[in-house]
Amino acid sequence: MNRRIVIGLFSFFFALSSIQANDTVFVSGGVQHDGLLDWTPVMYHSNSYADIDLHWQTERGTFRELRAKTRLEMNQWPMPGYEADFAGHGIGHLSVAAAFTWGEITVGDVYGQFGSGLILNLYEDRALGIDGALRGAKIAVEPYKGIRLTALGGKQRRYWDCYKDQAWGWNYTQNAAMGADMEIAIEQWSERMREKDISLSFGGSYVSKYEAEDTIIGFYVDHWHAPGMYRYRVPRWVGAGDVRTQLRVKGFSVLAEYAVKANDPSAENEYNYRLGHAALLSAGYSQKGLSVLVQAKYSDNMSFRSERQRVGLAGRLNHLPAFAYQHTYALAALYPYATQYGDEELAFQGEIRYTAPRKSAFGGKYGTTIQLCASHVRRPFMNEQAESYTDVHVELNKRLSKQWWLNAMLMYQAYNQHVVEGHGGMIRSGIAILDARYQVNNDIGMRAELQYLYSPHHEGQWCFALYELTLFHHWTLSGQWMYNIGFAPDATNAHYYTAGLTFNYGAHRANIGYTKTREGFNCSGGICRYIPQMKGVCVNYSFTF
Amino acid sequence: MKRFIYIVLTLMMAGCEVIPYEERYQPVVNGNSERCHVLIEFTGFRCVNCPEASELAQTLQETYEGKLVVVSMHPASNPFTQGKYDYTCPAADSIYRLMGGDASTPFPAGNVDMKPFEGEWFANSSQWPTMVYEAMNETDQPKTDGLKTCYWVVEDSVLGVQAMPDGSVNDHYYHRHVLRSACDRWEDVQVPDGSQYEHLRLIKLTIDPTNNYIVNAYESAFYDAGLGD
Amino acid sequence: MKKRIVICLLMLVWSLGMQAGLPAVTLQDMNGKSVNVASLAQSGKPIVIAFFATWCKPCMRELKAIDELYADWQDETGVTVYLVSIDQGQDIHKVKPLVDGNGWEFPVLLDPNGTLKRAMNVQNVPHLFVVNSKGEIVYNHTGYSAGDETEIRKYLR
Repeated sequence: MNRRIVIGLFSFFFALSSIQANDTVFVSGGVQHDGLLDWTPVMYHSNSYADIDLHWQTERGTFRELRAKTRLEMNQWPMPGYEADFAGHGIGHLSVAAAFTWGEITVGDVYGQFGSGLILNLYEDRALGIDGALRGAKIAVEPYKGIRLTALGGKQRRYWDCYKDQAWGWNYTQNAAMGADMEIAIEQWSERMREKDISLSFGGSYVSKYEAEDTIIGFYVDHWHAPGMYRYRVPRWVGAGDVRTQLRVKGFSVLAEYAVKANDPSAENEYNYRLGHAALLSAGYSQKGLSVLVQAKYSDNMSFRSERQRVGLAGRLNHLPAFAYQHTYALAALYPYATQYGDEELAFQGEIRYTAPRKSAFGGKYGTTIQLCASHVRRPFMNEQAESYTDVHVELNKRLSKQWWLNAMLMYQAYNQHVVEGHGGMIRSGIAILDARYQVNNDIGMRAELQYLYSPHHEGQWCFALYELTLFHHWTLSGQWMYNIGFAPDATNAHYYTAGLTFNYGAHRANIGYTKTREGFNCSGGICRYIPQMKGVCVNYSFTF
Repeated sequence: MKRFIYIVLTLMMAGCEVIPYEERYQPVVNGNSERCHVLIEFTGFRCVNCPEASELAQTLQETYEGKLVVVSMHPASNPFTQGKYDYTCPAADSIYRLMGGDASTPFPAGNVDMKPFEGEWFANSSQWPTMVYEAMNETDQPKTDGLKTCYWVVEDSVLGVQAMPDGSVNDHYYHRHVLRSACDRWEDVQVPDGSQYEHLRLIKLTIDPTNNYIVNAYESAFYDAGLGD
Repeated sequence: MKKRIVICLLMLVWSLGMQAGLPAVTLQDMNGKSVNVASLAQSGKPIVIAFFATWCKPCMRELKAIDELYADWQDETGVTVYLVSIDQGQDIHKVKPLVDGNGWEFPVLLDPNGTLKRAMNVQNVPHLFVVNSKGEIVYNHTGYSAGDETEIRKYLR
């Protein structure tokens, strides 16, 4: 059936594109390959993706573009750390989108996000192996200036499950999800508001998921039920709603959002029938050179999945990223936080960023940027061990001269290992990072990083060094080394290192290196995937056309 | 435009089922299976959620007195069993790998009668009551001929170490029904080295050789089975 | 049946020879206004589309480097650099403070759904596209190393 669709699309393209001469037809796409060759036992793990898009752009009436997209995946022997069901190969994505002046219609695998993603956030993240597309249809229209409507529905992809089903994922009798969203921007109707640079918008969305009745038996006891085995009567339809409003006046902006989810007993929340709540409040001021932002979020029982019996990375309809700063420096990201969907969580985040202009006292010759960020996550209503994660850091970015750049960061972090990983205690650490870049001349540049982490808990003190040499714009040699100095109960005194050579030419990027990485969490967008220790020769290639 | 909103609103009304409190929990009548079933619990001393799963398995065994045998396997292939203490045995590892288990399978994992449950070989502990209930209420008749026998030696109350859910390590934990060895012939059954005789039990399994599903099981203490010290 | 396959393959080969342009995806800018990405390329001037994320350090380096040269580029070529943020979920509210806090004056588009990212096959950030005055993509590049901004200048026509 897939072959027929692809051939049908090609014929349609050919037939129509030969009629009008000033239409544009082009192909775009990308290839990505990540591999690891390790020798205990000898095995080549790889994740490969090939995307091919066909675009046909025209100007007939309100019709603007037809896009057909397919993605081929070859993950039969994937890189370590992915879930067992991730392994497989075939067509991972197939969709056709038609863009008009008034909106867009997509048939096939669709993604979407409503508001801040509290009830619906379908996305793709290859580093984690997440692909939450719905196989169905999506329509997004702007029927009138200032009103945006979106509706989508389908069956969520879970790895290669659609291949086990005769209907290739178009079967909605077992489970399906649908949602609708409306957003109204009031300032589009008022000239006065636009003149005064005020914008006010309201939004609301509703998502509902259907799943056929299941036999669920469990031990239950409460005031009205004697201890024993009970059959849980599960709702076939679970609905969730979200309302939001955002006000912007010149540089100030305030956002308030609230989401609620109906009873959704599932394996992840231990079959409870409570409502799920999430609330988000964000206020900030920004102007050129200065920005201030404070945010608060509350979430409770907001795990919203397309299949109630599944746990793991795949199958989430919503996405609550960690309400904390996402670090990329190695030691700052040693203990990353991920939102605990099952627990009740209250989180705060704030940041102040200031860029001193050039030639000013603090700015120096080229300008300086300083930022202070803080985040704190806790479980309210817990008397002790309530703190889940705290992160306070200050970062300074300064260009010292024509050839030297400096980035320095000081950070305090508190990480409750028991909440995030299920074992351990509180890990408090102080981190200092120095990141300097030196441009020798137009063709040679280098960058070095020195990081140090002090902690009396868990594995103790760490140090990290990195050096990168860029030659003639195309070649980069890099080496990094991480060592656990120790002086703590679980110190390992282990060395971890990576050395690599990267060749970058236009749209091609190829990298080969040797790596020994620590077991840990690879986090992206606040979702963490556990990666076991890896050792071997790594090969990466990517190309976009 | 108006029609679009009406359609969306109608669909929204249909899309939410709220179960009132009185209807949520319906008592079940425990099935009366003619055969004895086996719940295999894959566990490891480093797995912090396993003690709770073990308690659940114990409650299930008490609920289905005499009809459910629970066996704990500690497969060496999984990081939760690796470390200073060894409760593994080769038989546990080979059964684990036969079912497709590897280093990334999350623990605790359970399996009933070496059969897949809804396409999965390993189930989360929240599904164990459902799996056992369905096994007990199975109506299709199993094969009666062409079956083979297999013997599992299991030791109870093994004193050892276990990581607990609150983060501590309990070094006086009694591991229940740990698989010690497996063999196909009665003559090969022996008392494993370093075990306590009075805690040993023999499980005689009747297996369908075409798919390796357990058809029936019979558990008895070593003494009662007539196996000497 | 075979003839159709041959025709389709020929069409594919023919279309590969055509220069890629920008897809007609609608994104919102930081003030909530809808912007059609394909129409950005019809201004008759070259444009640069730079994908970034608030958590990506090399993106910050690249954008700071471009910011230093932006005034010169605008005078010489009339180019506009559009930033596209791929931050998702509640992180979309961090984009404006980041851009303003660094003193950048680039127009920013938000792509929380990843629609433009997928339509242009962006896998990792930073990823940069240069579109010439005729609307064709003439250069695309992933990653950032020092000196890349001088490479970009060559394609701004």
